[in-house]
This record gives sequence, C-alpha cells and structure tokens, in this order.
Amino acid sequence: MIPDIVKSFLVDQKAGQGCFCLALNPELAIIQCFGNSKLVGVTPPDINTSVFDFLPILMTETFEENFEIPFFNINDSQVCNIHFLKEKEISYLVLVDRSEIFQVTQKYQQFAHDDNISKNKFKRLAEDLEKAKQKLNKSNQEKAILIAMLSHELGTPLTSILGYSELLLSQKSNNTKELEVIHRNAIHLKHMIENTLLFGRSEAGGFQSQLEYVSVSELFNEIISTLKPAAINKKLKLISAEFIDQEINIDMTRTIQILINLTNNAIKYTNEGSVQLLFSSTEKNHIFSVIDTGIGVEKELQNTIFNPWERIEENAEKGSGIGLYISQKLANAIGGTLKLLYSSKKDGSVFQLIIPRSSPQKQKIPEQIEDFKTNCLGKSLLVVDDDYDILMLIEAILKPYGFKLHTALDLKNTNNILLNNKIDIILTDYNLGKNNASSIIKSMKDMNLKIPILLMTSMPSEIIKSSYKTLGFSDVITKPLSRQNLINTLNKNLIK
Amino acid sequence: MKLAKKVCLIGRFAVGKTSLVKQYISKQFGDKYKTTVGVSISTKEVLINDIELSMVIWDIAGFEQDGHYAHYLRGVHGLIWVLDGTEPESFEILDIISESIPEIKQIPSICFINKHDLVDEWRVNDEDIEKLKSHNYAVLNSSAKTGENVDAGFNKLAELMVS
Repeated sequence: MIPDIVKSFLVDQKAGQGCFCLALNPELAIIQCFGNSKLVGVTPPDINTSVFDFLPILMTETFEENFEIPFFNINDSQVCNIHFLKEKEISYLVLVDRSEIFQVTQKYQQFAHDDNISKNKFKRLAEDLEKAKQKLNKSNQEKAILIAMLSHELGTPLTSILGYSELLLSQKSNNTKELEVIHRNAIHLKHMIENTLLFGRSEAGGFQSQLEYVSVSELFNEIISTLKPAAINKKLKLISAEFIDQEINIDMTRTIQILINLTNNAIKYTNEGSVQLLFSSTEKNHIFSVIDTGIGVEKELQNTIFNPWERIEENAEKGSGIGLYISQKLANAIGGTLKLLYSSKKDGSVFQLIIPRSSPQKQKIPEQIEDFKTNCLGKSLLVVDDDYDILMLIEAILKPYGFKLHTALDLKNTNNILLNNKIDIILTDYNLGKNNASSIIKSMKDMNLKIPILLMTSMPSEIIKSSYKTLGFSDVITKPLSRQNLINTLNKNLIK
Repeated sequence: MKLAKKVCLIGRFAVGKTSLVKQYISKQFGDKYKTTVGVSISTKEVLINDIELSMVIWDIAGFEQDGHYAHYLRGVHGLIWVLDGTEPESFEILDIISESIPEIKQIPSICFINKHDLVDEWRVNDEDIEKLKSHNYAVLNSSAKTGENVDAGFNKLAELMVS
C-alpha cells in the first residue's frame, strides 16, 4: 500500500534549527535529528521500527503528492507541523516543532472557548428566563380574564340582590332586620368580587393610575357611607375629621378602594371603641391614617400581614386574606406605600397610606349637579339589559324620579323602541344575548340618531373605559350598580 | 486482509469529539473540558467481515476558521459529524462545511447527536432532526459520558467504509 518512495535521503541543513527530518522508507525507517530540535523528548524509534509506529497518522497517506498537517499532537505536550515534500525521487518528511506556539495557542483558545461556553450558558439561562416570564405573563393574563369573566358573571345577580335589598330597605319593610343581613352580606360579597378582580389585574400588571382632583371630605364621606352599616352593626364609632377643606390630586378610585379595605379590616378586627380616618399633608406626601381600637396584629404577623392569604385568625370575622395584599399592590401602583405604623393588643392598630403629591395639573372644574328630579322629569330613558331582574331593578329605582321609561331585553326590541319613540338617553348592558351594545351604536348611526348612551359593565379598568368611549359610549357605569352612582352618572349626562 | 482507513471527526468546539474518541479507544471520560488545537490521532483495530481494519481517527479541533478543515480532510475515508443536543447552533456546521467542501457528501458518514446523558437540557427541535435526516446518514443519539451508542456509531462507520 505504501509506495517505496524513498530510496535514499538528502538532508538539507537549511532545514535549520527546530526541524526534525525523517527520510521515509516504509521498510526501514531512517531517522535523523538535526539542530536543537525541541522534539528530542520524543522517543526516537530505533532503526528497525516502522515509521508508522512512530507516526501512525501516516498510515493512510498515499505519498503521491506534497501535503501539510498543521499542529499534529504527538502527545500532550509536543506538537509539530508535518510537511511532506516530494522532489524528483527523493521525499522529505519534515516535522517542524510548534510546541511553544501550541502552548500559547492552546491557552488562548481554551480561554476563548471557556468564555464562549459561559456566554452560551448565560444566553440559554436568559432565554429560559424570558420564556418562563412570557409563560407566566400569559398565564397571569388568562387568570385575569378568567377572574374578570367570573366577576362579571357574579356581578350581574349581585346587582339584583344589592339593588332590591336597598330598594326594600328604603321602603321601610316589615322585615328590615332580615333585609339588612341580606344587604350587608351582599356588600361583603361585592367587596370580595372587587378585590378578586383587582387582585387579578394587579397580578397581570394591567392598570394605570388615573389622577383627578377630589375633596378629602367627599372621599371620606364615600368611605363612611359605604361602611357605616357595618360599623353600626358592631356598635362602633366610624369617624373622620369633621371637615377637611382640601382638594388633592390623586387616583381617587384606587385610593378609595385601599381606604375601604383598610377601614373594613379595622371594623372587622375591632370589637369595641372606634375606627377613625385621618388625613394630613407634608411637603411631599398626602398621608391617610386608619386608626382602630381593635385587637391588634401579633408581633410575629406584623412582617407578613401584607402577604396574600395572611389573616388574623383570632377573630371570627369573614375575610379572604387578600385585602391587605391587594391594597399594598394598589398603593404601589399609584406610587404610594402602605404600612402598619403601629399595633398592640391594648391600643389597636394604625395603618398608613402615603401617596406622593403629584405635580399640579389643571384642576377639574366642579360639575354643577342640578336637582336630578328636575333634570329627568319628562325625559325618555331606554334601559337595555338581557337580564330581566336588572331591568326591573333599574325601573324600580328610576321610576320615582319621573322618567318615561322604556325597557328592552334584546337588540330587536331596542331598534323598535328607537324607531317609534323619541329617546333622550340610553342605559345599556354590554352583553345582549347574541349581540352586544356596540350594535345599538351602529343602529343609531343607521337611523341617524344622536343619543347619549351609557354602558353598564363590571369593574372596567381605565383602559377598558377609555376604549368603550372610543367605541361611542358616552359614559361607563360600574357594576354591581350602586344607586347613587347610577343617579350621578345619569344626571351628569342629562345636563351635558 | 488488512486495511487502514482515515476517519475524521467534525464538529464545533466543545461538542465532545475528543471525549467520544477517548470513550471509543479507552472507555474513559473526563469531565474537564480541554480544547483541542490542530489534530490528535488515535488508532483502533477492528475486525469487520474478516477484514482487519485500522481506523486512524483524526480528532480535529473544532474552532471555526476559513479553510481550517481542508488540510485535515484530504484523503478522508469516513466522516463522523458530532453535534451537541444541548446546543442547536452546533448543527449549523453541517451545512457550512458541506457547502464549502461539496465532495465530502460522497464520503461514508455517520452523525452523533452527543450529550444524550443531558437529554433534559436538549434544545433541538423536530425541524433540526428533519433537516439532519435529509443528509442521508445514520444519526445516533450518543453520550461520551455513558458510552451510549459510541461503539455502535464507530462500528457502523467502519462497516460503511469497508463495504
């Protein structure tokens, strides 16, 4: 197989130092070392050893043409470039020692490869992290959608329960006590739904702060009117500073939600005494304090009280354990902080909501709210909802104010009423069986009608509210319906 | 009958070429990665269909350099492509080298998808595997660490070279 290519050899002294030359004869290896070869460490085969034992790399060579094998690793420390040169009938195999260059190259290459491997590892970790993040975001969004859907579904029957119980209570029924229980529990359920929805949104990162000017007195009044029945039920004083003549620029909806959660908790965990709401301002912050004379928070719980599902077990009051967690999330979302300032078994607790003062914005012009009865007298209101109970509830709430009321359960009836009557304002649910409220806007366009249309929907985010307005809705009313909110929104749109 | 055949291992750096050779020759595995510079040679005698075959195994450094492989692939009889299942980018070398040296498509070849012991960390997808199949050579999931399919792969190539 190996041609007898080498009959004799001629060593060129010019091969110089560091070269190791072999004259090839497959039958008889003749080996000579020249110069100060670094390859002296290689055990030179004796004269009778085949060159292929020494350099097995050559076993498969045909030796028909010149070739070069760079950086041939003879062993771990010795490396050479192999050159095969054929000149007339004489062939030369030249081994050029590259051990020193090899050491340096190996060092740099090892460093470069190790560096590359580390970078790849980090890159993969970053990719995995990004994938996990995307998966988590998607799952949070799906969860938020599920929570929103559930809240909507729960909100519709709750609107009926709350509305009718409120209506019956206002009519001084014989069963006032029982009605109060129903109403109080419905309010509790409403808070739970609101908190669950906010929890879902905060987990999905889906809300934005909406600043507006609000009077501190009004804000406290709203909280007190919402929670007064609960406080009275426990014979607690629920009080705020009598009159705070100050308008502040804050995210009212979120602030009210946080303060309702804090005050509601304070009422739950206070058995006697009072719950007090205080407000103060510093150069940088607005500070709301909720002070109670309740059972206090155990020292070991004080650090974890804002974690989800943490609750004080001592009290038999109902609670989901996410109220404070959501409140803190909300506080952070509006740029503020929520903390337990003080708590003891003897004196009760002080929670503080601290909101940074926002940069001055154009102050909201206070709306001139005229007398609702005057505004709606003789006006035609069309109420559209595919839930008969809700239709009846709204009718019962609004009829005493002098509205001329029309009701429709679906789009077909809505269109008939719009065609045959002069309607001044429309109040509609979004989902209308097979259709939705956008179809009413389309119908109005087709009929060339311009009527204010108010949409009732479950706890919409500000982004969703804004998108509804882009679709052509004049205003959005949050469900479960509050009688006061319904009247205020209708009034605002009637005087526009 | 005696034959000597030149076998070259090709793959990106750190895919496990040297470890596969070490496992095949001496049934050893070292955890520490040491990059190869140039080429290391090992030989293995195998008996295939009464033929005594000397496999001269060229473990070629995996660094990417223009024309880097040309010196080493001259006169090659069999190729072993080594890819890393945890590193899909290591699959790109197949197309790069096949395009720059088209004649190697005629050489008997097998392909190891190495590091099968880390199968939980594999990042290859079905598309990568389908693309490999289009090259028409045996593809084996291997592990230089456990020895999985190492002998089978080298022996398969030995059979291809003598047939």
